[in-house]
Amino acid sequence: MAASVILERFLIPGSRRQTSASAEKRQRIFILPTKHGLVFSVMLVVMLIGAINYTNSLAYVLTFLLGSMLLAGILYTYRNLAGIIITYQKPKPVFAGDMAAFPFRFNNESCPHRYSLTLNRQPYLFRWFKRQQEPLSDFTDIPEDQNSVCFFEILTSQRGEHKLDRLRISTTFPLGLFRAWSYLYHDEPCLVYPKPEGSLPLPVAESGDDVFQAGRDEGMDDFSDFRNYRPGDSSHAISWQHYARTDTLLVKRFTGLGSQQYCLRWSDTEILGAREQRLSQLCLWVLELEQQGHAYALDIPGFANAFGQGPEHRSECLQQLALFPLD
Amino acid sequence: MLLCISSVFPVIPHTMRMPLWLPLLYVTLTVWRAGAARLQWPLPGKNHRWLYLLQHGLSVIGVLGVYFHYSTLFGRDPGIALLVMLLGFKIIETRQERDFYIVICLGLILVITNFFYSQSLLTAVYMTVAVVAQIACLIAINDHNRQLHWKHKLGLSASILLYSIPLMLVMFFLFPRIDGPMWGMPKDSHGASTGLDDKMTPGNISSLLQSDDIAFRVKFLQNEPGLRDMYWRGPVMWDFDGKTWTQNKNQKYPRSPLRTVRGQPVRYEITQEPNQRNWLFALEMPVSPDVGRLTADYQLLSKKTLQKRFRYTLTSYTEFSIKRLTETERQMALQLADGFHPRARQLAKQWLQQGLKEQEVVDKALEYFNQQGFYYSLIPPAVAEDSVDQFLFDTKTGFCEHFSSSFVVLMRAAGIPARVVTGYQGANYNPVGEYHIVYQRDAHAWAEVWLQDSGWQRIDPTAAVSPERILQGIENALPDIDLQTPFNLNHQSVAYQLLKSMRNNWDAINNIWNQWVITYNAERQRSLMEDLGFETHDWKALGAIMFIAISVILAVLAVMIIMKSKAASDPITRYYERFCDLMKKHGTERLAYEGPVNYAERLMRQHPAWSGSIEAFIDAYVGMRYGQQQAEPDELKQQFKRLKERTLKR
Repeated sequence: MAASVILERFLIPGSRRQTSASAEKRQRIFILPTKHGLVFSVMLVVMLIGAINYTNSLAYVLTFLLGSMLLAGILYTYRNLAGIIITYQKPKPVFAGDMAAFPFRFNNESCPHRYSLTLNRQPYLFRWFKRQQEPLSDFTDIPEDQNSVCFFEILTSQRGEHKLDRLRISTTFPLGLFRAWSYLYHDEPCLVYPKPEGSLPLPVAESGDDVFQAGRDEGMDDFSDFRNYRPGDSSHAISWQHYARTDTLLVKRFTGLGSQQYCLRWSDTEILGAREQRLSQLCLWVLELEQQGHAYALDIPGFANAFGQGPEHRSECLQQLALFPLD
Repeated sequence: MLLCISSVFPVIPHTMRMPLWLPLLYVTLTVWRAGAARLQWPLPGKNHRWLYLLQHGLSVIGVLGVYFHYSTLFGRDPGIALLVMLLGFKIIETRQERDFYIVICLGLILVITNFFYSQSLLTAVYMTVAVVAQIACLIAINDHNRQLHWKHKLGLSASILLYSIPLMLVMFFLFPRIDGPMWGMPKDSHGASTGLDDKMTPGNISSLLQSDDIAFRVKFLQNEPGLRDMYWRGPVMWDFDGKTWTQNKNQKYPRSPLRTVRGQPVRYEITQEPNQRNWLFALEMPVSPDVGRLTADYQLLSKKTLQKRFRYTLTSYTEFSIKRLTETERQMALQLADGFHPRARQLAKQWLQQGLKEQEVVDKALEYFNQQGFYYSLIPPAVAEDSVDQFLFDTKTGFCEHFSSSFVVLMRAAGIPARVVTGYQGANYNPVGEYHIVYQRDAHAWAEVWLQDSGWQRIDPTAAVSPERILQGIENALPDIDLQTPFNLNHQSVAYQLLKSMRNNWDAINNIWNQWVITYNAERQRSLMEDLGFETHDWKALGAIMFIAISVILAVLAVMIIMKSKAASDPITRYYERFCDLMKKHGTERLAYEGPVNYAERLMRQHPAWSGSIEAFIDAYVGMRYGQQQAEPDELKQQFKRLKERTLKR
């Protein structure tokens, strides 16, 4: 379940119009002057002193105008951030070594155009004077009344479940003199599969030539029949001609002529020794077998499943490999 | 982003008061930077080391140039010159984001420096444009994805500044003003002066005739006098060396206030332009002025030199008598330069020999001017050694300096103590603001003589020859060729009148600007506070009001700015949203993923009684929103209303 968060909606109209069913948490927005804002303030003080000293009316005017612009700037910068509804969406699983992309969905309905929002990491023990250690992510703009999805990517090195640590969403638009920010705690972990590598050959197939059983095993070699589409079926197998004619989705059934079944056992990888390497090898096998269209089953300590194929089965196996307890 | 910033800066330093090479250098640097941004010109950097050399070399030369031009590196003018240079070179060096911020800050400081030279309305407007542009650059820096067109940047900048104006007004009027500088100011803070001099020679005052500068503005509060009585007293000249009249230092001591006056008091308020002197011009004669002090010869002086526009209120009486004359003064008022004006002395002796008494001598002299063919004219005759004699007997053509000077010489030669008074005469009425303007060209010189029974009397010999000058002002007295008008128009022509009325309007606006913006100082603030009902020096109350006002304005601003964030949605969608709200009230909320049709089906299942209306509404909505149906908000509104009625019937 993707959690939603709504950044402070003080005075934003339309806040009654929540039609989302998921619980929304209100979150605080903080505002402080930026470094440039402080310099600007110092400049204003200098100007004020000059105006007082020379008793120059127009100098007063300009100083006060810029001073009140500073205050108005707070409101503008706040407005640029306030009111966004952010939904943490589930990130797609990746393999170790790839970039994991955490999706953030911004809901900007009935809100104005937002400019130059940025996300960056802010671990908890963050010290103020060491700010900006992480380079800022790209800036995004959200046009008014639209939704957009933004991805925050981090490099994964280890398998397992990775949660994104605290992120900060901030903006300094329009004047750059104040920064408004809020913290985002993305709670959907990203599943990181072990990196598929290994050079061991596949283990021996379980069943031999007497595998052909009409209608029971479903491989990908010979076309045999149609059946109704079940969610999860590969879309390659859909018969589009039928759909065009009758508006129902049918899936072609194949039976493999020698669809083989492999049992991938933990013990098969014993030679490799290290746990991670073994998992990587198993992962590679799963991918190869899936690609070749064979059925396979995984048998590792703590988990065993039946023979199967298809995206769901593959995901299940990979997930188990990913979540295998660490050393 | 880069270009936006670079091209805006030359707008601000419209400092034409600098040596020409400096703004040129500045513009060149700016163009270089703009070129680098747009046309990929090289900038000083790792690849172009020689450009570093060029840049630093130029900056050193620039500093030296400033030094040689101003002979110093300190003070207002050289300081600003250095600032312009600093900004120029900084523009070349902008690489990171924070450099741009610094450039903008420097640019804003440069805008303020302009105000030290001129606070006119035009300057204010021009600088406003410059500031809007600067803030637009700030926006540009923060618009990282270049989403905003430059027009929108300017528009946003203008609207931000517009929202800042109310708060600015509050602070401008309520922020406590302190009189005068907190520390010493550099000597060259203010520019040169024009106007009356503390010496008078023939040619002095006539040189002011071409001047369109304003000496001061007057608003009469009570008993406005006629033009003939409008003599504004300036420096009084006692000493004559045959050529030049000068003031007498011994007359600087303060005088006891005038007591013998008659008639109605005239109350007036003068807003005087800065003149780098401490002269204040009062209508003859002021009584007990509360600003400045009167010298022994009744000139009004202020304590400090007038370096900025100054406003003061006085009361004068046009009928007065001054009966005191010490022996020293008498001697001073009879002194003539040795060896000068023999013919004038001769003429005066002649009159005495005729047995004329004092008043009669005066009349005789005036008669002499009137009947001996004198002309009041600007055209300067050739300057001779003895200007008085030449004027009285040869040329008989001259200006007020000649008339007053010769008259006083004649009087002194006849044994009547006399002195020359300079100042201004008359005033020009501006109907738009109901006040009078006294220009530099209204400068005048007249005489005062001491008569036994009546004391010091004002005698204006110019009136004997050209009464129009006194009664109607300088513009009507001199023939066209003498007095230059813009484009050499005829005084009487329509075009000139038009120009004049335009000028009056402009001056009226300018006057309001002066009164309320530029001369708003501690004194004005105090009077404003009094008008509003607060005691003076009640800082706490002032502070409290300011605080409250600021808070109120900020609150209003907050509402305006943040609530403005509602995106304009079309009426069709709005009715749909109201529909969803209505249904939610009755227990069936729309789920996030439900489209209108599905939602409607669910609704109809749950509330069968309203099926008809629901269906009608949804059909209309879907047709208008997604289908080919023409968008008729009214129709949708009706459907909605019908539905609402039905739900209420329950």
